[in-house]
Amino acid sequence: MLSSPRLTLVLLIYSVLLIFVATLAQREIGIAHAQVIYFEGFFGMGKIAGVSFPFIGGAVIGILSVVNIVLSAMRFCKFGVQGLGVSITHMSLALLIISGGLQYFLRIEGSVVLKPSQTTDIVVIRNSTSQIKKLPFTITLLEFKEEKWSGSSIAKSYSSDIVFKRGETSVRTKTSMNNPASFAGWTFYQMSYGKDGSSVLGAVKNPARLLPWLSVGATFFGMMIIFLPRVFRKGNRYEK
Amino acid sequence: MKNKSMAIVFGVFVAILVAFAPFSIWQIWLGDSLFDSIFVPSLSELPVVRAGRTMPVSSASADILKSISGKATAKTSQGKISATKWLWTINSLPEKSADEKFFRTDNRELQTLLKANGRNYSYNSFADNYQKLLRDSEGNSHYARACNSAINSGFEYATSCSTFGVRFDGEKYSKQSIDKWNLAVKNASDEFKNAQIEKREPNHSKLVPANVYLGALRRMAEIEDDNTSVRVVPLADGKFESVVSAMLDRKLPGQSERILKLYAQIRDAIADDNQVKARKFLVDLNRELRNVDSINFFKIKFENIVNALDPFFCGFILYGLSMLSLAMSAIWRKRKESFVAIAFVLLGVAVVEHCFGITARMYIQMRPPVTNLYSSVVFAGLCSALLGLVLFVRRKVVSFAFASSITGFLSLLVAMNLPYSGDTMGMMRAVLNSNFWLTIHVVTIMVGYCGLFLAGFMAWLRLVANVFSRENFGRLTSDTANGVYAVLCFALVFSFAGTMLGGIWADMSWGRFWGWDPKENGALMVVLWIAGTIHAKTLHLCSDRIFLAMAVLGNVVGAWAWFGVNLMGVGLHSYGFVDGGWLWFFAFVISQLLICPLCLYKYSEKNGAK
Repeated sequence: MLSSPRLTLVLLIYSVLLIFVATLAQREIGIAHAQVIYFEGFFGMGKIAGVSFPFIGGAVIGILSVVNIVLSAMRFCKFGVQGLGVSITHMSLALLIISGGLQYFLRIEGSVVLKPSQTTDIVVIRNSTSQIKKLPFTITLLEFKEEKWSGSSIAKSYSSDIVFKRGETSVRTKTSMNNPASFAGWTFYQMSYGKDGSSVLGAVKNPARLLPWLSVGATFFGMMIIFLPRVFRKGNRYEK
Repeated sequence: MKNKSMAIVFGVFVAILVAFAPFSIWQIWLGDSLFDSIFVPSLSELPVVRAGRTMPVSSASADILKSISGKATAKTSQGKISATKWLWTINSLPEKSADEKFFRTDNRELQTLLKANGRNYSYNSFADNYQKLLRDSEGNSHYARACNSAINSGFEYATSCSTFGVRFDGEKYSKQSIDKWNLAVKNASDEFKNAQIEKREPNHSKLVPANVYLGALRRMAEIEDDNTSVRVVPLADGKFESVVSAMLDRKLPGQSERILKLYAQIRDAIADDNQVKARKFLVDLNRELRNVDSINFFKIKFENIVNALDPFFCGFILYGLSMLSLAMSAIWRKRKESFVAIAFVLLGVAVVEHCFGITARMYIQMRPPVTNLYSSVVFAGLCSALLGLVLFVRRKVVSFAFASSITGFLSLLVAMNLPYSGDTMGMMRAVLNSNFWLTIHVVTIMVGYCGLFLAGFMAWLRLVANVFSRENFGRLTSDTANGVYAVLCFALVFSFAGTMLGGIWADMSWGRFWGWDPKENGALMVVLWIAGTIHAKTLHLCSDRIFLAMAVLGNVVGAWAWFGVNLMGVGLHSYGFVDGGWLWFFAFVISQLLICPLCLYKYSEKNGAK
C-alpha cells in the first residue's frame, strides 16, 4: 500500500493544499510560526479567519513521501535509459526531502550586529531573545558601505569589511549582498544595517549545507535523462 | 491552394499594417515633428536621468504622465498629444496647462471634491483643495489613500513643470530668470567683498534679490523627489542634475551652464510658439550634449525609436486578430484553411514583435529579460506563445495556435494594465542586483510558468470545444492530452530547476535554502501540482479528460503563485503588490474552475455526445 501510485498522487495533491492553507495562515500568524505548526509538525489544529480544522502536518507528509518514493522506485524499477533516469530523479528527491529534515536538526542561524571597529564573538540566535552562542573566533567590523545608483535613492549595494581572528590566524575579508564570507564552519551574510553605521550580519552554521545542492543537481540530471531523449525522438508521439 | 496563398498574402499585409500602425500614426498624423519626430532631431530624444537611469525625454515624460494619469498620451482641449509634447507644454505654458484635466483618480468621493470630469481633474482644482486633501489623507481608508496619491501626483506634476527651466514670479522667460539670478548672486557677492574691504556692514537692499531668488529655488528643491524628478543637466563626472539643483550649484562647469541655458531658451521659444527658434536652439543643445562623453547616444536614440514603435501594443493587437481569425475558422468551416493561414501569419508576426520588444528592453537595461512583475508577465507570455507556435507547426492542431494566441494576448493585456509603479526598466535594488542569479533563477522559473499556462489553456480549449463537437472527440482529446503532457513535462523541468535555483540563491545570500516565504510556497505548489498532474497520466490514474481538468486547475495554482501571493502582500517577494487586483484574480480563477466540470462530458457511440 505504501508503494501505491494512488498514494503518490494523494500526497502530491495534499501537499499543494497544505502549502496553500499554510500560506493563508502566514498572513495571520507570521511566516515563522506557520512554519512550526504546518510544516514541521506531525498533526495539528489550524485556524484561519476564525475557522478551526484538523490537518496532517508536513513532517508526516515528508516521511510518507520518502517511504512512498523509495518503495515505488523499487517496485516499479525498470531497466534502460528511461528507468535509470526515473530512478535517479526519485532517489535524489528522497534525498532532498531527507536533507530538508536534517537542516531542521543541524542548522544554527543567528545574527551579529557590529559598529565600525567593534569586535565580538557572540551570535544572537534567531527567534529567541535570550539565547546566544559564543563563537570560537572573533569578528571585527572595519567599515560598512552603502552605495546608491547615481541620481536616485535606490540602493545599489551594501558591503562590510570584516576581520576574523582565531588565535594567531587573522583573515581580512568582505561580505556583500549575494556574496557571503565563511570562516571556521560559519558563514556570514550581509543582512541589514543600522542608521548609526552599524552592520547587521546573518550568521549560519550548517553542516548539511551541501546536501540540498547535491540532491537538486542529481534530480535535475535524472530529469534530463528522462526528458532529453523525448525531445529528440523522431515522430509525432511523445508518449509510448 | 490558391485561396491559401491569397490568405497568406492578406495576413502579411494586415500584419505589416498593424506592426507599423502606432509608429505611422504618430509620425505622420498626431505627432508634432519638433517634439516627436525620429527622422530629424527632436525634443523627444534628449538624454535625461530619472530614478538613476539615463533615458530619452520620451520615456521620462511617459513615466510621469502614466503615474499621474495612467496613460502614455495626454488629452488636451486642442486634442491628443504625445507625452513629450505634454511635458514641454506644462513647462512652457504652466498657467494654461493648470486648467487641463490631466490627473486621474478612481475614488468617487475624491472625484466629487475635485470636480472631476469623469475620472479626470485639473491641477488647479488640486491646488484649491490642497489643505483639505492634506487633512483627509490621514488614516487608512480608501479615500485617505486616494488623497495621499493625489497629493503625490500633484507634487510630481509641480516638480515636472520646472524640468527644463525655472521661471521666477513676475518673469515671463526662464532664460531671463537664470540671468537675473546670476546677476543677483554676483551683485550680492560684490557687495559682501566691498563691505569687507571698506570695513562696513553690507547694504541689505543689494542682497534682497539674491535672497528672494534663493528662497524660491530652495522651495522648489525641497519638493523634488530623488526617484521622480527628471535630471536634464549633465555634469563633467557623468552625473546629471535637475535644473533647480544646477542653478543652486555655484560651481557648475561651463558646459553644464550652457546646456542649462539652452534648455531654458527652448522652453521660452515654445512658450512664444516660435518653432523655428526652438529648432535652432535644439541644434545648439545637441551640439553641446554631444561633447558629454558619458552619454550613450545610440542607446538613447534606440529607446526613443522603440517607444515610437510600441512593439507590445502592436503584438497585443496582432494576437487579438489572430484569435479572431482562428475563431472565424471554427465558425466558417468552408474557409477554415484560409483563416488558419491568416491566423498563423498574424501569430508569427505577433511573436516577432513581442520578441523584439523584450530584446530591446534587455539591451536598454543590460539585464536579463525578467526583472520585475511587469517583465515577468511579458516574458512568460512570449515563451508560451512561442512554444504554442512551435507545437502548432509540428502537430497542426489548431487549438495549440489558439492557446498560443490567448496566452500572448492575455500576458500583454495584463502587463499593460498592471497598476503603474514606476519605470518598468528601473534600476535593481541591492539584493536583486545580480545578472547571474536573476537570469538563472527568475528566467528559468518564468519559462516553467509559461509552460504551465500554455498547457492549461490548451486543456481549457479542448474541454470547451468538446461540448460543441458533433462528432467523436475521443481522438482529439487524446491528442490534446498528449500535447498537454509534453508541455507539462517541459514546465516541470523548468519550474523545478527555477525553484531550486532560487533555493540555492537564497542559501548563497541569506544562508537558508528554504524559508517558506509565500512566493517560495507558491513556486513549490506549482512544481508539486505539475508533478501530480504528470503522475496522474503516467501512472494511468485518471482518464484523459480528468487529466485535462487537472491541467486547467494548474492555471489556478499558477495564478495564485504568480499574483495571488503578491496580492497578500507579505514576505520578501511581495515586490508586485497590486492594489485592487483581487477582482481580476478571482474572475480568472472562476473562469477556470467553471470549465473543470466539463471533463465529465463524454461521447458515447450509441447516444452521441452527452
